[in-house]
Amino acid sequence: MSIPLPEPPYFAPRDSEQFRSKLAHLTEFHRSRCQEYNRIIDGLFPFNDLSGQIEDQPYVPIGLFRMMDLHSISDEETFRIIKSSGTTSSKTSAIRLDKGTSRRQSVSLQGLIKEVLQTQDRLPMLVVDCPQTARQSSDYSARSAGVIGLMMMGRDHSFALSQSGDPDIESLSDFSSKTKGQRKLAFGFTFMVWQHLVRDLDYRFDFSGMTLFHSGGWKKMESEGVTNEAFKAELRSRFGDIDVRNFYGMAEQVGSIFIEGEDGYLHTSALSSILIRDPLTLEPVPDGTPGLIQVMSLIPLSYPGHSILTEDLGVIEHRQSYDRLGGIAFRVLGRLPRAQLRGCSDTYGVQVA
Amino acid sequence: MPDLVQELNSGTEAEQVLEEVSSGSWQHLAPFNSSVVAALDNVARVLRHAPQFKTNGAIQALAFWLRASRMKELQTDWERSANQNVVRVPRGLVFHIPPTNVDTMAIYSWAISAVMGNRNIVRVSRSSLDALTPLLELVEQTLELHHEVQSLTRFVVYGHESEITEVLSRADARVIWGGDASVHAIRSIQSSARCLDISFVDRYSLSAIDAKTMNTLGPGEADEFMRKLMNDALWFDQLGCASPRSIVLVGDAEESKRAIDRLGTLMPQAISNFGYEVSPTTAMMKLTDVAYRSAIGQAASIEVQIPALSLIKIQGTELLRDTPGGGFFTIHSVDTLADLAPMLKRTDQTLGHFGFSRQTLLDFVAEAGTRSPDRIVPVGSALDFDTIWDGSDLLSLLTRAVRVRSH
Repeated sequence: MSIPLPEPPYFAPRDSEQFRSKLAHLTEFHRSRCQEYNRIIDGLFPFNDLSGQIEDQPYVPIGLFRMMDLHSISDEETFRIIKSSGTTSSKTSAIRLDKGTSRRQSVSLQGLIKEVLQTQDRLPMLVVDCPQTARQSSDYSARSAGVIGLMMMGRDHSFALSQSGDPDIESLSDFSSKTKGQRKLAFGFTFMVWQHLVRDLDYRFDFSGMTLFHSGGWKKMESEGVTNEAFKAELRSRFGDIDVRNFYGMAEQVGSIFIEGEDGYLHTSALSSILIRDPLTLEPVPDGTPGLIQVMSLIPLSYPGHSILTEDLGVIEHRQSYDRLGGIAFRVLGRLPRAQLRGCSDTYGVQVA
Repeated sequence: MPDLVQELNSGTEAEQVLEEVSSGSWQHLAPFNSSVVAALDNVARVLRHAPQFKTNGAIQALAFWLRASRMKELQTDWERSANQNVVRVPRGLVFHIPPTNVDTMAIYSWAISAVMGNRNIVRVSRSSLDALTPLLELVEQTLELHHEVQSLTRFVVYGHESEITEVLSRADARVIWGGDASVHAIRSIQSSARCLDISFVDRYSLSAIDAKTMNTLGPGEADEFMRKLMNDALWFDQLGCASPRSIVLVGDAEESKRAIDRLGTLMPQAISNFGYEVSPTTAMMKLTDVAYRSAIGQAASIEVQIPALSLIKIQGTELLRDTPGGGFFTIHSVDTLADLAPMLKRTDQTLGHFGFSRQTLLDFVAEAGTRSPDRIVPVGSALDFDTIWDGSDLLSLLTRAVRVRSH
């Protein structure tokens, strides 16, 4: 069974039946290749069938990827393992990629970024991280995967930070002068961009013409009291006329990211979609009602990660296509709180140790 | 924070509390002395009539247990087993470390020790202070009328400063609740050489139900049975040491199957009648847990999966002891009760039973031998507090035996 990716353009109006059908086929695909996944579907979704509506199709809770290695390929076929450090737990996900899925991730990411940039050219790129993060290996973190993946979009890469993790003023200054008047690209994790380019940096540079992509949890930003609007405003005041674009993604679904449109909301594409579910009953909720985000992607063939119930809360704002990016427009609101069940087992021991 | 609870910020402050509670004019309280019994009886009355606790089953059970008439029963048993050459005297000063969530345990622990004539310092963790405050406020108000007991009682709150724990561990006994980790942590803090540690470690509990008996219950009887089972299971988010997390159905394959179906039908309503609700975080945690157990082939079938209730039938004959609580039950089937015996471990504390004769239960204990649980009690009474807890006879442990020979 072959499940080809949709052809670009990814942000044009599309046939949701195609997406639904491909997703259903992915479920069948993984059921036949991953015994653990098959048992989950048998147990939790006993009435699942190929013709079910998108809301009725199965999903895997994201925490499961941190408890076990779910894969639909053999050890020999494994090309790369992406690790994610869960922000709310000490457990990590280990996502197995073969060459095929790895390629699908690159193709998708490149395609999505290029459509947002509206150019096929590779642009000069500033990486808001230190050079070591970009080092390739067969086994790396989601942070490295993100940086390396995005770096393929650009050329003549400069790093905003030195090996020590401090801002590299010389590098930033050179990048500004070399790319003066040109379109350029930048990428960094949200908090890193904030900390190293805004909060702890006293310099200003002219980066006019830049499109800055950033991603990563807003939790730290919220704890510093920084909203998306404030973030963008600060960046523009220091670096000139730059286009700041947030995107939402995760190690468990690399490649099919949701990118911020001009309307300030995140958008789905032909490659990925979302549903919002009531956090308790898990029933789909109407647009405008917050709930748990379920993310669906047509990319993963090496592991059953095509339909995942996250622990992020979000809300669908609209489905009109007045934003060029179209699709479903949504916002991420935060995480499920870390409430713990109390019980006879004290936490005293853990904390004293 | 009620005045009864004192915040400790240093070892020096802890020493001061130690000093205050150890001195005081009433030095010689004997077990079951009238001033303590009266104080506890008063607390019982106050709790029973408190409007905010009217529907709180755990508090009402506590109130029932603290009554003078209950203490009288304990005293009668105590005196019946007395040796005429032995006088039992209080241990002295007892330091209690109750579990962080079973709120009422702090009071049971304190009360039992106080009634045996001891002075008491009870540590309240910061995380349970909010939950305990309404209860402690009422205790404090009541003790205003019982200065003797009041002067011998102190509730303290502090973080995890081992310095403070070390000072308070100069007591004559430590009662340590909270499971293995807590016990290890406290034990690692040196106490005085004479100090006796009474520890309550990780325990696991279950219910055994005779399938045929359950299947023949009429609708009203079935509802009553479910009410009792929920009463055992759902307090303290099913994580009390006596809270059943596994249900073992005893009977042939056909009866078992019918019983499982019946449980699947009755439990969701029973949980709802109890009023048990979980947070979305807990619901997600349980869903993930169920998915995991399905994935690894541990779960034979998922009978119910809704936010407040996960009910899964387990493959094979091993009892699982790593389930998360919060309304999460595993179902196991055996042909006879005796078949359950080899599945048990020393960690198993309470077995709630339904549908078995007394003889069957006695035979079962004999069969299980050293693996026998500490308590085998009817479904509905799993959480009833008993002075013999986890195999420890608290009344004996909280006193010293003084041999008196006159000639």
